[in-house]
Amino acid sequence: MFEVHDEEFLSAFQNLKPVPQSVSLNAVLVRYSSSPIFDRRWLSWYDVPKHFRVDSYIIPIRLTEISPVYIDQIKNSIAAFLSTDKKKRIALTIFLAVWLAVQCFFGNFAYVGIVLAFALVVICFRRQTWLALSLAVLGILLLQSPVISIWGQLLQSNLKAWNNPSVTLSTIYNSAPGGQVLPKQTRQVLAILQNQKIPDYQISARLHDSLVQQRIIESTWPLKMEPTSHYYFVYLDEASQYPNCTVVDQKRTIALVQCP
Amino acid sequence: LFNALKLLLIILVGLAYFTGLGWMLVGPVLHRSLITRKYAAPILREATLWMAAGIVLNYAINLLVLSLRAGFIIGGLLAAAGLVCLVISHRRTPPDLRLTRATPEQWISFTVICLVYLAPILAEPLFDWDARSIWFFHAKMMYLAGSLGPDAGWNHYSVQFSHVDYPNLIPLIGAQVGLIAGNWNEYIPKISLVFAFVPAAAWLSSLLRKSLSSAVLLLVFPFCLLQYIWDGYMDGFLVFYFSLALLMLASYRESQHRVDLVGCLFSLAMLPYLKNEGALALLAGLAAVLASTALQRGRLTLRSIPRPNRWTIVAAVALISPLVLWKTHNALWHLANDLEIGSTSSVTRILSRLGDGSVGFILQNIQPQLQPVLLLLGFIVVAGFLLPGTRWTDALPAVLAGVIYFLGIFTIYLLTPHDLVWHLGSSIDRTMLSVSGCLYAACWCLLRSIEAPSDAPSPQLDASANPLS
Repeated sequence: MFEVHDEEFLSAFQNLKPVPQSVSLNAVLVRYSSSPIFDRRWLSWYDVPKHFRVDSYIIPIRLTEISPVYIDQIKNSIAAFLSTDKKKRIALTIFLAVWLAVQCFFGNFAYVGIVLAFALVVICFRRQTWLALSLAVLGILLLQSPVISIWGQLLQSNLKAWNNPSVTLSTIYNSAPGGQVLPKQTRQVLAILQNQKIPDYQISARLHDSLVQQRIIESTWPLKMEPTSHYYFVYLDEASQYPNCTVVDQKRTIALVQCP
Repeated sequence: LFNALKLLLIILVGLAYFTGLGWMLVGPVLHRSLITRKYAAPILREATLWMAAGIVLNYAINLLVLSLRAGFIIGGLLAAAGLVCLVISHRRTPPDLRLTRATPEQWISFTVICLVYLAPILAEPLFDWDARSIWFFHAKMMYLAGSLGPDAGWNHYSVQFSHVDYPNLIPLIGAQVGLIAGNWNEYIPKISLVFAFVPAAAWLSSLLRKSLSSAVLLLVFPFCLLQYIWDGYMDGFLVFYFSLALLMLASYRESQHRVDLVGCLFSLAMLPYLKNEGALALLAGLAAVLASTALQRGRLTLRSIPRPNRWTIVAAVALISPLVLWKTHNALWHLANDLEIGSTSSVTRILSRLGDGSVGFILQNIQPQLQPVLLLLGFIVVAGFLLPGTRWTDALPAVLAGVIYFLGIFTIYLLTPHDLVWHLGSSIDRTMLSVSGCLYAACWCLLRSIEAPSDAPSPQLDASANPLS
């Protein structure tokens, strides 16, 4: 793809300082510069006679210079693109066509626009490549990923926490287990258990809603739900379905009944 | 002020505990000694390694003794010894082999990330289902029983909804924090998330440079992990450490520094202890390591894999022991997994779902989850074609890990005994986050190869590290 003149290469080697612990290599990595912006890029592995011994396998060589004339630069860039490896051009064309067609199918027209604009900028204005690449990458990332919504959530959470740090810290240490995060039925069960010491419990069929049941189990732990327990947590309007049982305690909608 | 100091003290003591404990493992593996250093390494990268190793070792000790108090005593003694050895090693080491400083932008990004996430981690109560019903319920069970053993109540019929066979790396720390604070509520056990987050944030910051790829990394990794970093789910940490392992691997290919490879392996070692899916991530990560070795050396043979020394074997045993111990305990205590992986019925379900349109339905659900990362990757591939010098092979290990993980998760959806619609709806965003993480890592590798490398590979590489030798 690019030619490296042996004279340049040899002189680069001759300028290398000798090193005590050298490594024998049969290839070196050549750096080149295609533009002032994309400087110091690895280009390719270049064969080197085996007798060369170098301390590092990186040889910086500046091979090309960009013409300062703007129009010439565009012409050269287009020509350079067209003269690139045929396989690479075909691969790019196929990938681009399929990829953009898929994105059109999913309705990502803004994305298709960004990709096409970037491709044009790269082919025509190589000096703008870094800027175009950055804008496109950050644009896609910010528009398509959840980054901005997460920033919003983080900001909200931080404002809430730092607005009154003493309250926040006090909440962390001193808040009672349960708090406001539990379903209201579970909070009532916990309130009943603060007054009543029972060895175990069961819950009524209506409280067997999976979320409420799980919250009762985890928030009352290590008190365990046992199928043989004589104590039932029931909705108040269910208490009549337990005729031989006595109501031990009750809150707004939940009661604890003891059965024989 | 008292509460703030108490909180700060718990965090600092915890970090020192994990650091000391981790040095007992990292020192011998990285420097082949507890009291001397053989390599210089960036401070953010190596200190993070100590903490991550300490977290795993803490889990191993507690699984071995099955008592929180006994685990604390043994871990505390080891951590104290580790801290003493660490100080000695620092004093005995010549300045050129000590920890190297991080750049100001690395410190700034580390501090900002930690501060930004501190408030939601500590000040938001445990609310969401997995956090309350699985992870921090397990932590509460361990805290109240003072044990990881059967006394914790794993076998009780009423807690079987809680997936009692799941690993407990972070819940254990939650229980330990509860024990130290002497209280339990919706906030205190969440301090454990700080201990898991700080090493990951430090590792991430240590990879940052003044470049576009670093900006992408900084945007993606804390922030694309959604709320799963602070809400008490383990998914965020699984993705974070899985992705960091792949980033470390890519970094190792460039720097050839042992700390990167060891960091990659220690990150991978944490995964099975975060979630059951972590075992799949570990396999995918190891495949990526092998692929990277093959790409670097031109071939993959048994000879090309470095022979481990005795310290590496000891470390490997220590890192794998929690997996073996927990699986053994699971078998002894009859804790079964709900997915019935490997059973005849699971194979039958796979076969029936392959023919009933489930495959299309699963893909339909996956597509929106992977769309952001695929768009970015697709664009970077186009840019890579257009711009010269792209090293495509740099991204291959991360892509391979993502593909393996994707196929594994896809198979799990095919064999699930649960209702497929429910299973997908309740988990697809989290399971696909790991695949996204791998592909974001691949994006970073490609971007890094497109932009100019800011520093050349280290000139003091030895011959074995040279990919051409």
